[in-house]
Amino acid sequence: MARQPDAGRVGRVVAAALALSAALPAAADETAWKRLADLRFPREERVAFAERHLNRLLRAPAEQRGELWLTSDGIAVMRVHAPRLEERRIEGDRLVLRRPHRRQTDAGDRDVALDNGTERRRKLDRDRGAHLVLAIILDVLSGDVSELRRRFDSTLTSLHQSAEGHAWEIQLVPRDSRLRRELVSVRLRGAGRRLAFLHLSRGAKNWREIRLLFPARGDESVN
Amino acid sequence: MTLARRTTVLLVLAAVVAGAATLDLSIGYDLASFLPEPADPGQRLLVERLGQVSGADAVYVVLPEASEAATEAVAADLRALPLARRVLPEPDVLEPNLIPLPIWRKRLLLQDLPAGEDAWREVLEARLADSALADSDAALEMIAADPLLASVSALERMAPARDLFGNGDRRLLLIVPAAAMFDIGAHAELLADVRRTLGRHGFDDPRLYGSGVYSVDLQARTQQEAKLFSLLATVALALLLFWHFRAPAAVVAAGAPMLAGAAAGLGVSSLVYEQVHGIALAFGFTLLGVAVDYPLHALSHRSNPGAVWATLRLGVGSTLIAYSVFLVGGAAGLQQLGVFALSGLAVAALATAWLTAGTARSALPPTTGRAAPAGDTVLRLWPWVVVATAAALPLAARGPFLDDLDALTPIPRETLATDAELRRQVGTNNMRHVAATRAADLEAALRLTEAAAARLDDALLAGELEAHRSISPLLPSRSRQSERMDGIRQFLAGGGIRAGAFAHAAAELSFGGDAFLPFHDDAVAFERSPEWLSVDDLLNHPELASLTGLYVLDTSAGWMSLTFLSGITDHDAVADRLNGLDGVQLVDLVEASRTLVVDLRNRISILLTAALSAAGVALWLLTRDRRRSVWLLGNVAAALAVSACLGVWLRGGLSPFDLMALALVAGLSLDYGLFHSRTPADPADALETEAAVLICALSSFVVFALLAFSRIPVLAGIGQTVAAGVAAAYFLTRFGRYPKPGT
Repeated sequence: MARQPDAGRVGRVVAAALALSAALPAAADETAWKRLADLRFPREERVAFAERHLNRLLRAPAEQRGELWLTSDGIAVMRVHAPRLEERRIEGDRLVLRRPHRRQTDAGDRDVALDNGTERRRKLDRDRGAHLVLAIILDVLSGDVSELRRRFDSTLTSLHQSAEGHAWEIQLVPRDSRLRRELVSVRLRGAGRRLAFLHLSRGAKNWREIRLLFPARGDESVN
Repeated sequence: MTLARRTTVLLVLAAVVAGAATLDLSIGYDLASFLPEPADPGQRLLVERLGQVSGADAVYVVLPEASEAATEAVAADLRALPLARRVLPEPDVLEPNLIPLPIWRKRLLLQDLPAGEDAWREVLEARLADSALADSDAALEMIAADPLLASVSALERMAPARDLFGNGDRRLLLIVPAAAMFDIGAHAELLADVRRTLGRHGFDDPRLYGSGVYSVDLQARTQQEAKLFSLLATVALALLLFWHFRAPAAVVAAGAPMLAGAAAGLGVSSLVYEQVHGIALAFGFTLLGVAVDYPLHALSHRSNPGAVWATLRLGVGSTLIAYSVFLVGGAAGLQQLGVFALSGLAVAALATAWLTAGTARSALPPTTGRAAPAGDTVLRLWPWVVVATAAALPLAARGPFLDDLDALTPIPRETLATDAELRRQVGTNNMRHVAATRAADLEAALRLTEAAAARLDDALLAGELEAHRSISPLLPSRSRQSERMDGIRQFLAGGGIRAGAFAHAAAELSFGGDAFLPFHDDAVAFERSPEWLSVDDLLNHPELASLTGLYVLDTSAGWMSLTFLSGITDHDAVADRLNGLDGVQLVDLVEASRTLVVDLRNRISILLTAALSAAGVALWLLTRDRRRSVWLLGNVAAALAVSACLGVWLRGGLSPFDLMALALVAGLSLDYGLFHSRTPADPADALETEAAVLICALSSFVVFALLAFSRIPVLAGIGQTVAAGVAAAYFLTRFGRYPKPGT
């Protein structure tokens, strides 16, 4: 005859399991933030990137290529080389967009090439979506994840061992429901201390992703 | 009636007239009413803009250690001030609902549509990059409806780039005032509001720069100094007169005619003119200074009161004739000055006569002192010839006039240096050059402005200038709008966004087929019922009116459109490029203002010379004594030369203000000369004449010598000029004659 389970023991096991399950995400969360903080880019080190985005104006994702880096005074710079040259500088809550293109002149019937290009500055607090995207890029590049921690829940998933180190994926989900309307989720993928991929989703047909193209190098194992 | 009673009656009457006049008095500040007829396009532009253009110079607000957010909060509150027209930098506009409605609705008229697939691809590539960043719905909406971003770029091209306004170490805001250039009261009100606003944001000790700020500070300091020196002068004058008359009633009575004259000047001016210029009043009071001498002479002659009036009438008459030259000075302001001075002097003389008539002076003690010799007076010509020649030589060698009026500014050098640095920072220091376009109607002016812009673009490419800014991006000419309308028709005829160059470029760049449907629909609607963008669209919009007013002006002679040029490296080359555009003139505003000052000074010099000549002719006609007339005019000329020489030595030259002070010197010199050259009836008369002229000279000298110590260069200059002139005139006329022996 099968022994009846001891109700008290079961209760203790369930309680322990519950306690353990409650503790597990917290532990994972900390590891994810630590990993993110470790992704800090060395200042002035340039990394090639490929960026794709899709929004309601596009029928297929569009791609831009260039290089990005963090300046010595903490400004994130993304210089797009193709399909056309432009420079984006993320200075706090400002995006400065510089395009060394041509602009229409007062004469109106022709263009004049200008060496210093035209510059457009955007204040991002009105544009919450763009602000979030750029703030995430800047925070990840600079290793300052305090603002991200305040606004997102994170989940770290270990994938496999690669030549670059232990592969991982972190998912950030906005805590605030209003924020979730602006940004559904953020996925970051990398190996060791290197970020390789950043995907920001605002919905099925509205997303943006950046792939970082580090030159191959030796393993950097993460403890 | 006693002297005290007559004085009281006179003062009460003066107070009533002055009070009534002040009730009806409107004071103007349009300097143009004092300026000569403009001689060239630059002067004309300056004169036309002086009175009517508001916000001629911005207020520069420096916020040290301010975050961008704090600066924007301050700017938002400053924009709410009623006397602030614009506050720069202005907020970014990347959402349709933040763009002024006329600009958004008529944006298709603001830019040419690209021609061909390559041109469209270039535009759409830029929008593709924008859409990568602008993932807010509003920004995507804007790209979809305005793929050229014509509305945004038209507004951006009207303002300096944001990054010129500093960073966290020092941020800068520019307030364009709504008040007219010379409305110091309104400027003071604006600055008080600005300081209060900054204080609310924690900037308790704000640093403000700009000519409006200095004018307000200068006015406050001038008033402070004027009060101080008036008090000192009154005390000194009262002591001096008390020492002379030894009767308090005489001290008060001595000032009454001049006050009555000032009240009359105010009254007549307010009756004759709707608005009296501040400068006419200020210098009118200066010219009235000569009237102080009238009661001093009349009250000093107690032994033979009637004898003095013959000379006094001569003095008053010749001064009136001299000052009447201002009536035909050719400028409304100078005419007002003449009316004020003439009516004031006449009433002061009449008041003196009434005040000192009959038994009024019986209470005064007799003049005491050593009896002067009486009898015919011999006039020496050589003293004034020697002094005038000695003083005129350095004047002729060096040039008597001060062309650099900046030298007169009491603004500290450090402030001026910071001011220059701020202007350099935002590119406003180079705004001295303007291409002024004039035409009978606005359309012609706008077309000329566009033609000039095309040539200035060439100059830009050739490195002859750094930038040019006109109304064209915001208000194209009707013909250009019409061309753009044709472009829209062609675009739609070619399929719009659904076929042709646009569709190919958009498809190649992954844009959806309907991505730009709002743009297409607006173009179709616009083609069906086109609405031209007019100057009234801009002038009737609260945010665009001030901006528009800076660039286009409806003058009495037609429309004027201004293109501001900055960073000119080759003035002649730019001028050559604009040659052949009939109605467009390259104007150097600094040079124009310098030549205007020179012309003003020349005009005043001519008037003063004419006044002196008129007085000389009048004297000769009235006295029929050629030697005396020559002697009188010679002494006046010598006193003026000494005074001018001192001005050149102390201040580097004479400003227009000094010239007005010289007019007073001429009046006083004539007065001293007339009394010193008269033949006294007896020793008592001779003694009283000596004493009267001495007290007249001493009182003027003390008042103006005190003013010479003012920290305001203009006031100090007037003080030095008059004090030196008075001293020279007194000594020249006192020792330039002697009683004929045996008479």
